[in-house]
Amino acid sequence: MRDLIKKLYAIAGKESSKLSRMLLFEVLKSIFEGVALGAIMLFLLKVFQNIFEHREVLIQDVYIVFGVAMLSVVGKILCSYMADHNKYIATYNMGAENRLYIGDQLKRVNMGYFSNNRLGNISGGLTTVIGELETVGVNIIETLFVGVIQTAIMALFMLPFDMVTGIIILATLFVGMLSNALFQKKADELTKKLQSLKINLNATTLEYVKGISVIKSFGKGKEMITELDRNISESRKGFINVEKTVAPAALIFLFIFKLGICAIILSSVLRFCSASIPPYKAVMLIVSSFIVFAGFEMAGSMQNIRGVAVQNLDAISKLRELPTISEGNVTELNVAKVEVNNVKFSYEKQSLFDGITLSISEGETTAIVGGSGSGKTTLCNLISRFWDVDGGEILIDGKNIKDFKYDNLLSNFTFVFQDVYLFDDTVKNNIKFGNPDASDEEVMEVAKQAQCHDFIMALPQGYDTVLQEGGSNLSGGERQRISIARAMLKPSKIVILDEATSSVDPENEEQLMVALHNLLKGKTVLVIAHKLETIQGADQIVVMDKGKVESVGTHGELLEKSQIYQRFIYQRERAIGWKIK
Amino acid sequence: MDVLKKHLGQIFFAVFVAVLGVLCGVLPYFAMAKIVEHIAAGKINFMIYKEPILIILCGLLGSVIFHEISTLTSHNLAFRIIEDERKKLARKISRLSMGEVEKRSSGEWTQFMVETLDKMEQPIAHVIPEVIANVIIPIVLVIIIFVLDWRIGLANLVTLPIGVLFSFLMMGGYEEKSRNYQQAAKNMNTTAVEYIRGIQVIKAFNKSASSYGKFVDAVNKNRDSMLSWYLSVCFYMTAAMEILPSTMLFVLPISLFLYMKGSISVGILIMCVLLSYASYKPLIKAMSHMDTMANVRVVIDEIKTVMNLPELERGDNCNTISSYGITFENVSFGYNDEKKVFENLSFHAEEKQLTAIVGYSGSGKSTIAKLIAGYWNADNGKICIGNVNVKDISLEKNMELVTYVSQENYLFKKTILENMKLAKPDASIEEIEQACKKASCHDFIMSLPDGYNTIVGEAGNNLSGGERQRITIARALLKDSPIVLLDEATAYSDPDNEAEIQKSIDALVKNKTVIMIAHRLSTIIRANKIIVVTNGEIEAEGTHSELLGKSETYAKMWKSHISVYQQAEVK
Repeated sequence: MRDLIKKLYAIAGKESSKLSRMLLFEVLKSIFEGVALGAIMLFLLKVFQNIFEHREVLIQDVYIVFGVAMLSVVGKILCSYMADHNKYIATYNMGAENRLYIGDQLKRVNMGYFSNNRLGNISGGLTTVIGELETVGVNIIETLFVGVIQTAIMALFMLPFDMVTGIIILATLFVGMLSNALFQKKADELTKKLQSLKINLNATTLEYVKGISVIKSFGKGKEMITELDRNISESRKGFINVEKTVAPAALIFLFIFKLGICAIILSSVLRFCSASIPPYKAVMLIVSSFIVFAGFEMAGSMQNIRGVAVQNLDAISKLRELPTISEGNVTELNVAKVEVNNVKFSYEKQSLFDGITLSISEGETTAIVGGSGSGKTTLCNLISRFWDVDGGEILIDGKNIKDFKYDNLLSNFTFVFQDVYLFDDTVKNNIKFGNPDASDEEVMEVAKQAQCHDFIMALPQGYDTVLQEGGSNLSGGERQRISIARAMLKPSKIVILDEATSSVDPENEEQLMVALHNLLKGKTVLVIAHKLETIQGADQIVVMDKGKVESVGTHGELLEKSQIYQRFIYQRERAIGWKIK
Repeated sequence: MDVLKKHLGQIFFAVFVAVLGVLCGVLPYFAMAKIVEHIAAGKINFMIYKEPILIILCGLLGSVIFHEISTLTSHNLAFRIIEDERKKLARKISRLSMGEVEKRSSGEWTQFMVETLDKMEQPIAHVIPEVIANVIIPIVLVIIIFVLDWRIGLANLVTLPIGVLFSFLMMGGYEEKSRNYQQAAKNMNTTAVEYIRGIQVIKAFNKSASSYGKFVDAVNKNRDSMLSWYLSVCFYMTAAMEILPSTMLFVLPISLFLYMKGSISVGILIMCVLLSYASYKPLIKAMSHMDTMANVRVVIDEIKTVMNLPELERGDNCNTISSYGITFENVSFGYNDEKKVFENLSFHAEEKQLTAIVGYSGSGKSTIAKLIAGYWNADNGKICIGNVNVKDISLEKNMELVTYVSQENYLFKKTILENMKLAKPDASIEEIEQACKKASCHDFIMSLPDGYNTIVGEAGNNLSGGERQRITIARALLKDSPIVLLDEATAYSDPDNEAEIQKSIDALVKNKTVIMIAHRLSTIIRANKIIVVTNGEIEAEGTHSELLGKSETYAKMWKSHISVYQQAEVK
C-alpha cells in the first residue's frame, strides 16, 4: 500500500496537498468510526452494569448513547465529504495535468520511438488508463488506506481498554499485511501475464480486422476465424487461470482476519471462564470483534482489483518518462545552409547510413532520388531532427542541430509528407495549422494556389466542413493538396517535400507545380520525388543508393556520370510510356 | 440478456453457492448471541462455549470459502460470455459489407472487441456473489430483527428512507450530466488519439499539446464536466453513504430504552444490535457495483448496435456464371441517403477486355470499382457479372471472381509463403515462385534473410510500399480470378518499383476482364474502352482517339496530362 501511495504522489504534481488533505480526513473519519464503536461499548456497559451491578438504566443514558452515535455519524459525514471533495478535485485535475504533460512530452520524443505498438500504448495511456485511475484507481488506493488506518485506530482505541484484544488486532493486521505482500508479488506477476495475453488478443484481432478485405477476397474467412477463435479461447483460459491462482491467496487473506475475530472471542471467553475479566468486558470484547475488522474487510475485497491501480500508476509514470531528446539554446537561424557530416544511422539493428556526407546550399533546390530503402526519407527526418543521428553531425547555419532549441529549429522547417495526415477539424483550421494567425483571406488564397479552393467550395459547408476521420471522405489527391496549402501558410526557411505530389491528379498537377514554384522561391528546398521530370531543374540532384550517396550533380551532369541515374531516367521514361497491354 | 441463457447452469450454481455463503455469514450472529446469553447468565464452564465458538469459526470460514467459489464461478461465467460475444462479433464483421467495416478504423474495431468487451468482466464476475449476496443479507437480517423484536426492527429501518432521500438528491439530473460527461470523455479520447496519430504533423508545424487548442479544450472539458458533476452531488452522496448504514444511531438508544423498560431480554437485545449493525453495510457494497452494472448496459447496447448493422444481402446462386463481362444497368448509389454518388449509371465492360475509367477526383471512379468488388450493394439498378445480378450470388463467390488491387496492400504478419497461400492453399512452392517471378518479386524475396519464410513486418524486415504491392500482385496472380480491378494501383512508387509494378500488372491482367482506374492517361490509351465520369455521370465513352474528339473533359485532361510531362522535359 505504501508504494501505491508513493506512486500516486509521484504523478500528483501540485495536487499533492489535496491528496494529503484527502488522506487526513480519511484518518479523522476513522476516528469517528471508533466513536461509533464507543457508542456500542457504552450501550453494552449500561446493560451489563444493570445485570451484574443492578445499576438502573436511566433515560439520560439513552440520550448519551444517542448523542455519541450522532456525533459519530455527523463527524463521519463531514470528514467523508471533505475527503471526497478533495479527492475529486485532486483526481480530475491530476488527470488533466498528466494528459497535457504527457502530450507535451510527445513532441520531444524521437519519431523513431513511435512504432505502431507504442502509439497504441500511448493513446491507451492518455485515454483509458488515466480515465481508469480517475474513476477506479484512486478509489482503490483510498479504500486500502482506510482499511489499514481504520483497523489500526480501532486497535489503538482497544489497547488501553484491553491489552490482549488490542494486541490480537495488531497482530492480525500485521499478518494480514504480510500475507498480502506475498500475495501481491504473485498478483503482479500474473498482471504481467494478463497484459501479454491482452496484447496477443489485440494483435490477432487487429490483424483480423485489418485483413478482412483480403480474407474476404480470398474466401479465407473460415480459416482466419478459426485462428481468431483459438486466440479468443486461449485468452479466456489464461484469464481464468490467473483468477484461479489469485483465489487461494485471497482466501488466505480473508481467513486471517476471520481467525482474528475467533481469537478475540476465544480469548475473551477463556478469560471470562477463568474469572480474569468481568462479564461486561467479555461481552464488549466479543461484540467488538465483529466490528473492528470492518475496514480491513473492505480493503480485502479490493485486493482482487488492486492490480488495476498498480497498472494505472505504472503505465502513467512510464509515459511521463518517455525518452525525450536533449536540446541546446541556440534560437537564431540565419543562413539556411545544411551540412551533413559523416552521419551514421541505423534502424534497430539494421545499419542504414554508415557515414554519409552532403552539403545543401541556402536558397537552392536539392532533389534526392534513389530506390526504395535507399534512405531518402530518413535523411530528411534526420535533418529536421525527427530522429537523431547515431554518429557524425548535421549542421545548419554552421551549428549542430542538437545545439538549437527544438522549437526554434522546427519553426524553420516546412514539410509536405507523402502520407497526408489531416485532423478531424474544419478544412479552414486544418490549413491554418500552418499559421494560426492567418486570416480567412490568406487561407483562401493559399487554397486557391494549392488547387483546392474549388473542391473545398463544393463541400457541404465549404471551408467550415469538418473533415471526418482525417479527411477519409476526400480523395488522396485532395488530401495532399490541402496538406500543400497548409505548408504554404507556414513561413520558414527550409522546405522538405517528400513525394508531395504523388497522388495529385494530373489535371491539377500543372497548376500545383506553378504554386509550389512560388512557395519555394528563395528557400532552401529538399525534394524527394519519383516523378523525375519534376526535379530535373533542381540546382543539385543527389542520387542515393542503399544508404550511400552515389553521386551529386545537375541533371545534365548526372546523365553523364551516374549509372543509377541513367537507369532511373530510362525506367521512368518506360514507366511513363507504359501502356497496359 | 439472452447471452445468459446458455449459461443458466453456471449462473444457478454461482447464485446457490453465494446464498450458502450468505447463510454461513449469518450463523455467527446467532452463536454470538448465545455466548452473550451464557455470559449474562454467569456460566463459567468453558465446555458450553465450545459449540457456539465452533459455529462462529465454521460460519466465518464457510462464508469466505463459498464466496470465493461463487466469485470464481462467476468469473468463469463472465469470461465465457465475453468469449461468446467476441466470437459472435468476429463472425458478424466478416458478414458485413466492406463499406460498413470501413466506417470504423481497424483500431476502433479492435478496441471494441478487446477493451470494450473486457469492461463486462468485473461487473458480471462480481454481480452474482457481491450484489446478490449483499442484497440478500440485509433482507434476511432485517426480517430476523423484526421477528426478534418488531420495535427494534422499526428503529432499524429509520435510516433507510433518509439514505434513500439523499440518494435521490444525488441522482438529480443524472441522465443529462452523465450524457454530458460521456460526450466530453469521448471527445477527449478521439482528440487524444488524433493528436498522437498526427504527431509527425504536430512536430512539423511546431505545435504541442498545450498549444494545440483542441487538445487542451477537450482535456479540460472532460475534467470540468466530471468535476462539476461530482462536486455538485458530493454532499448528497457522502450523506447517503454514511447515513444509510448508521443504523446504530436509532437502534442503540431505542433498544436501551426498551431494555430500561424491561420489555426485552438480554440475549435478544444483543442479537438485535449485532444484526442491525451488520444489516446495511452490504447494501453500500452492492451500491458500489451499480455503476459498473450501468457500464455493462452500455457495452451490451454497443454490441447490439453492431449486431444489428445491415449485412450485405446476397443470394447464393453459384453455378450459372459463364461469362465475365460487367454490366451496370441504371445503378444508383450513395454512401448516405442525402447525397448520391451517382444515379442511373449504365455501362458495359466487355469480357477479357480492358475498360478504363477516368475522371476528376471525387467523380466516383473508385466507388464503381468498390461496387463491383462487393464492398456495397447498389441502392437501385443492377450490376451484372456475365448475365447474373451480383445480388444473386454470394459475397464469397463475388469476391472469388473479382480481384481488387489498390494502393492499400495488406499483408498478414505471417511468412511470405503463408501470405501467398491465402490465395490458393494447395499451391505448390513452384507455383508460388512462378507467380512471384511474374510479379517481379522473386528476386528480392530471395535476398531476404529467410527467403519465402520471412515474416512480413517484423523488425528489420520492413518491406517498402512497392515491394509489398508486388507481393500482393503476386498473390492476386495466384488467385487467378477472371475479373481484375486496378484502382490507381501504380501511384506511390519510386522509379525502381514503378517499372516493376507495371510489369507485374501486365502479367496479372492477361486474358482477364480488367477495369482500370488510372491516374496517368498515357497508361490507358490502348484500352478497349475508356469511360469518362464527371460528377457521377458518364460523360462519354469510346477509345482514346474517339474521346479526344467527342469528350471535352477527356480532351482537357489529356492536354494537362501531356503538358506536365512536356513541361518537365523542357526544363
